[in-house]
Amino acid sequence: MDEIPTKGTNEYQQYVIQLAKGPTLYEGVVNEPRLYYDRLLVPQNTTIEVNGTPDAIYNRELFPVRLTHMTAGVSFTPLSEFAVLPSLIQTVGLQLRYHDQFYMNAIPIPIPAWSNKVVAAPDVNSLAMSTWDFVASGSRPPVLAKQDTFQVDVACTDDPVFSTVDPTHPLDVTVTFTGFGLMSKRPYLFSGTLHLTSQNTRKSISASNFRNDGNEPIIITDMTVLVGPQVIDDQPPVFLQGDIRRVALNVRQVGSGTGSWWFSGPQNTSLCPAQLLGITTGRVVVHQFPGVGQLFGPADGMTVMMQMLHALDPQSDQLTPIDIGFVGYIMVT
Amino acid sequence: MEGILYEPRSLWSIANVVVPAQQSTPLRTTLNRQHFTNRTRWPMTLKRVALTAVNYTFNSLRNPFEVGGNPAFMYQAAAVVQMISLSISAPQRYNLNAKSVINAATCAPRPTWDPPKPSVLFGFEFAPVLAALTNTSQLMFDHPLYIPRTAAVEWQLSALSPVVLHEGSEGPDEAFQAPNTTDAAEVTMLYQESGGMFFGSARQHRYNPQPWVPPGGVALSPAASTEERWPFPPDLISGLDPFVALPGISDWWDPKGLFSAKSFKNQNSTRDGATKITDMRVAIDQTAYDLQVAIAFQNAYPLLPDVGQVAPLSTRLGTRVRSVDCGSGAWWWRPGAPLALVFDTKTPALVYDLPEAITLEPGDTLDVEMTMPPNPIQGEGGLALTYHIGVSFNGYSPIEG
Repeated sequence: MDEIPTKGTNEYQQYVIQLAKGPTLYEGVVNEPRLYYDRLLVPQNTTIEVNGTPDAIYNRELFPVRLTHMTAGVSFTPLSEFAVLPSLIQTVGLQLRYHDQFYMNAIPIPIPAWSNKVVAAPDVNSLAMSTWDFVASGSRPPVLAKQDTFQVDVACTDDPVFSTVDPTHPLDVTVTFTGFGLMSKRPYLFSGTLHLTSQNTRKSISASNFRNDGNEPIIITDMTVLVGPQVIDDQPPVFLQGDIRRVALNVRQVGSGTGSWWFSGPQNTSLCPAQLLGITTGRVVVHQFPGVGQLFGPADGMTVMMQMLHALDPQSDQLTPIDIGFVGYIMVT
Repeated sequence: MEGILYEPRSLWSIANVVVPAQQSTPLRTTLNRQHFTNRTRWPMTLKRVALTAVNYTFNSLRNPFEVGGNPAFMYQAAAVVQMISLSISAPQRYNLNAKSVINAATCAPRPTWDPPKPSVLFGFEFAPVLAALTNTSQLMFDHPLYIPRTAAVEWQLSALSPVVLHEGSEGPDEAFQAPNTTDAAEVTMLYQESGGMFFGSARQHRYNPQPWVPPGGVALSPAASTEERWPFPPDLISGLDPFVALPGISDWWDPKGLFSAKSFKNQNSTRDGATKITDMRVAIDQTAYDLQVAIAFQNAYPLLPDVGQVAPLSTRLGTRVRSVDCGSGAWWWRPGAPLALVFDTKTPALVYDLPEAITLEPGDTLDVEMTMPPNPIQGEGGLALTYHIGVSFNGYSPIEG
């Protein structure tokens, strides 16, 4: 990966412009972020190997995707006696298989040992947010052309039985994109907030929040998702701190670009756990693949395998749900 | 590949300082110069400083400013590092801040550690005592380490310094054994390699660290500590009462903690040419260990307030590494360095980038001074306060190939 100039400097802007404009203008290539995700349920009472959903980590498009990072974290579990500690990820091993090759080792490696990137924000924010810096993470920044916008769909993924979300106690989700104008270099910030009032109902943040109403293309450099704290009782007020794991989302560009959803996973899901977007800042284990990452051609895929490295309570039938994501960008020629 | 092999290097030391009960002014101490001397025949480029409290059982105990909180608790947890000031200079030529010491926590350390753990929700989560969310230490090499096909790296971690509680005072006279079972924690040591067909690969070694039992079952005072084995920090009943004998091993260098050259070679990937190693990592699963510490602590000291956060075991494991059949063949740092001090890319230690790298020629040395604040517990019943603070300077040496 090239040395990236300091953010905010002229050198940075020139670098990003080349990154965004170069392939499009000179090679006819459109770049867009991509993320493949899956959720594995790992039994706690045995060391049995659990494979991911078939074809979840799979390139269904007609163009190659370069994967640069992997992210993983324990999914949100109900606030009950069935809650799974996020730190339980320390006991889960992971292995990737691709055309009969193993990564990183033939023996599963604990997921925390994959972590080779520090992503913690200040304590007050880190658990509630995910930030993806497209430039710093080696992806290619998307370009929001004139009159383009983003469609951003979100949902609260709480277990309905235990959910605290209802019309009187909404959950606030904010999605923000930042970037700068291709011509003017002036900064742009698009942000939209949605009050989620029921669990598992997919809603769109108003596209007017993200529309490029200006007169120049905008290079998008960062994306942030924030889940705010929730008031769950009124008298006296009781707050739950924000937890990014409670929300899933998907994004696509409307106008130019591919028009495809950026995130894809198992066939029965359409929204990606928001914690997996925390490649730059967040709460997940982030593994940066060596070198320039791996090129996935059309119809290429890989198998994810996880297992508990030692069984916990043999009497328990509890599962450890782990979200895993593979992050990169597509190159549409 | 210019025929030069870059090996990581670290100069480290641990300051064991007792601030007397009547100390009303800051206490300045000079660290052992021998520990900061380049004793190799290659120049050493140092780019970062790391600072951490070493060997403490807890990161923090109950807030001393709460009603009923005891100020002495602050000094019996790793949070004491917040009160340390530091000055660094190379004699005659480099004075970073030789005249005035600077509080270490104010020098804008780089982000190096895990996201925080969730706070208690509805009382169901027992997370606050846990040391960390993922608890992984990482050393990203300044330059990738290219080693020939037939060469290897040998890496060993020490035994685990046991939790120390003394008999007497408020606690019952029963042994504090629970966290010292041999399978309470699990360590994974890993080398990350680049190249090959699918991303790359990694070599790993996994084992359960065992607690170390001091000779004769007696805790080491600072004077009795050795170069590799660190003294025990103060506990809640300061003093040198008889040490409670615990199960464990007497060999400081745990044989199971050896990631041998043979094991390294056994995991050679099926490709030709030199191996490019980019970083080393250690993941410590201490979730079970932490819960056992918390429960045993409350059993032993039922009259004391609720438990704080357990310290990461990377501040309580020593380490040593060397290249085999290539490079210098010397230990990369003085054996016994706390893992948190030398694995400074991801670590619970405070890490600062030096404004300018320091290059030490063979025989060169650094002067490092540390300042402890006055003893705030004055008057009748005042206690002497003990600090065990580790400091390291980390970088690399270019070795002719």
